[in-house]
Amino acid sequence: MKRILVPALSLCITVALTACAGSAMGPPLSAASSALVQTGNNDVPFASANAAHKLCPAPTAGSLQCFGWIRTDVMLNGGLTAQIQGAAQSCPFSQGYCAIDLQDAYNLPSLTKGVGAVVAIVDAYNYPHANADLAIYRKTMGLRACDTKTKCLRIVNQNGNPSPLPGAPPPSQDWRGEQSLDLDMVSAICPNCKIILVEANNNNTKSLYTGVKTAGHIGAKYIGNSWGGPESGGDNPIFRQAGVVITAAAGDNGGGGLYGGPSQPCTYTYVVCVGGTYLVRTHNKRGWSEDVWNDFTVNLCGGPCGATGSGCSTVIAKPSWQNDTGCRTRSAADVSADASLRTPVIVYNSEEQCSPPNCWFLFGGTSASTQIIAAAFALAGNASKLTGAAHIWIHHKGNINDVIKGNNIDPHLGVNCASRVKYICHARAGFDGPTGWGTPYGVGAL
Amino acid sequence: MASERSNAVLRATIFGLVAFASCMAGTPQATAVILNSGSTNSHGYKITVATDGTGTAVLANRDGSAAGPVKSFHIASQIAARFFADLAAARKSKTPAAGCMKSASFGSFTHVTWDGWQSPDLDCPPGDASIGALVTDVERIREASGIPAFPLRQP
Repeated sequence: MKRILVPALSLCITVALTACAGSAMGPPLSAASSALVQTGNNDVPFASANAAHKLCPAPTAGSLQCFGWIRTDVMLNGGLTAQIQGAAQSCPFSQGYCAIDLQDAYNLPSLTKGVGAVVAIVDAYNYPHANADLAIYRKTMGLRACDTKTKCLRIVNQNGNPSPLPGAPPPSQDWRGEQSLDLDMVSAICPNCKIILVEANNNNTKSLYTGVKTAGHIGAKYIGNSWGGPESGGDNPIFRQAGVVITAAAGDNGGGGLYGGPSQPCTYTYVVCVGGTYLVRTHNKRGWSEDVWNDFTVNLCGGPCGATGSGCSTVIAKPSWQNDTGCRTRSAADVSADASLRTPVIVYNSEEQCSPPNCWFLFGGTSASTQIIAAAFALAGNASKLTGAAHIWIHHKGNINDVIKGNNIDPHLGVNCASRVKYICHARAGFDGPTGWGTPYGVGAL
Repeated sequence: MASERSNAVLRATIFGLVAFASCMAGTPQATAVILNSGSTNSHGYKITVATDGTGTAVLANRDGSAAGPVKSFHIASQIAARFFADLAAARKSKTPAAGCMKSASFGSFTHVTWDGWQSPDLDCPPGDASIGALVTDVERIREASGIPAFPLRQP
């Protein structure tokens, strides 16, 4: 798979994205024209040089910006649209990662695996445009449709019922942004999966935990939880469901700090704790390289901010399969994926400040990586055989991209890991706290 | 005429003294600060509100430094009065602060600091009615200040 396949469908899509959207506060990350390549049987080869141009001018301070590019050397045969939709993936954006990029970065069998697997996303409050927004994301990315009409997507309350759904989040809380990111990431990694969006009444621990319990009861075998809080107690049986893989975010606050430290439910024994990386294209065999996600060090956080969480649990005992020796309790994280806002993923959300259909945003954080990993587990399809993250700890060799550079320390705070557990904050060969064993290379470790 | 003038001078003097005394004695109570931490995907903000309804607002980085220009705003005196009354009531609340789960990458923390007291995190469901009232006030003030609900960071 290569980025920017640009089949005829993508022309149609990019034309639909003509107006400018998404608030922009900085320069574009990169130009797409140089990255346009000809690949695959469904590709539309370029008829001339410079056959693509940006739809919108560069943004000025405080203005909006669109990410759309348009091919100028081909004309779409309208009759082909229906046949092409869902048959070929594309990335009609110049910034951020599309579904096809993430699949490529992690060498995932996204187009052939995951059929019938059910992934649940547990979040708080209602996101009324969830179904419609997901449809736009999937159509634009060239993924097969998945909506509530066909029951590929189910949206339920924390008790598993389609109604009544909870109320809108308080104005100060962007759980709708979270839900859009989660839905799009699961779709990007496992387009053949079915999705259950469980909307808890609010962000009380009890409500979200009820949502997790319900997700397993109504058929999900893979549950992604892009939320957490400080550790406040031992293992909770809700997070040990037979034949169900549960992932949770390591958090975005680095390895200790103002709001950092181990995060629950991530550190529960049977939860797969997911960290974050900074993912870039590179001229190497893989085509990509990754460091620990740490945006604290960039521009003193005047721009992108946050770093992947990690830690030694303060309340959870060492699981039998964790064999690192510095941390005497449960070490976090187990595995990781892209999370940096400097290497963001593309998400569609019409409930942010935008004018539909120009509502494309660049998001990051371990919220993204948590759902990427949950969906990658679904591609592997081994839920019935797995016990938490044990499989990763045993089968990482040859199936993981080891992340060996970087740390998750906030330089403003100067909090570091003690020398005995230096690897909990600093990447190294093999297991380390910020990225676990690393990122997936295929699904052999999952 | 002279009497009227002296009365006016007296009134002005008393008013000035009261205002001065109020200003000096009331300094600690006269201003409240609303601080939102921001998240991976959104800037935080700092809003300062005075009892007379004047205030300033600025987007903030994680380390508290300004991420944009400081803007002045003004809210109706009734809103300011209610805010400070609700602050006083919330401070007396005996309900323990309610913790909650946060979205890993969109969740923030919001606290009001006033007269040496810090509110519980207003981004968690309120523990009682007095905190709930404070949440409503803060939302109203944020909106009036021109700070967006989610000032998204876009790289």
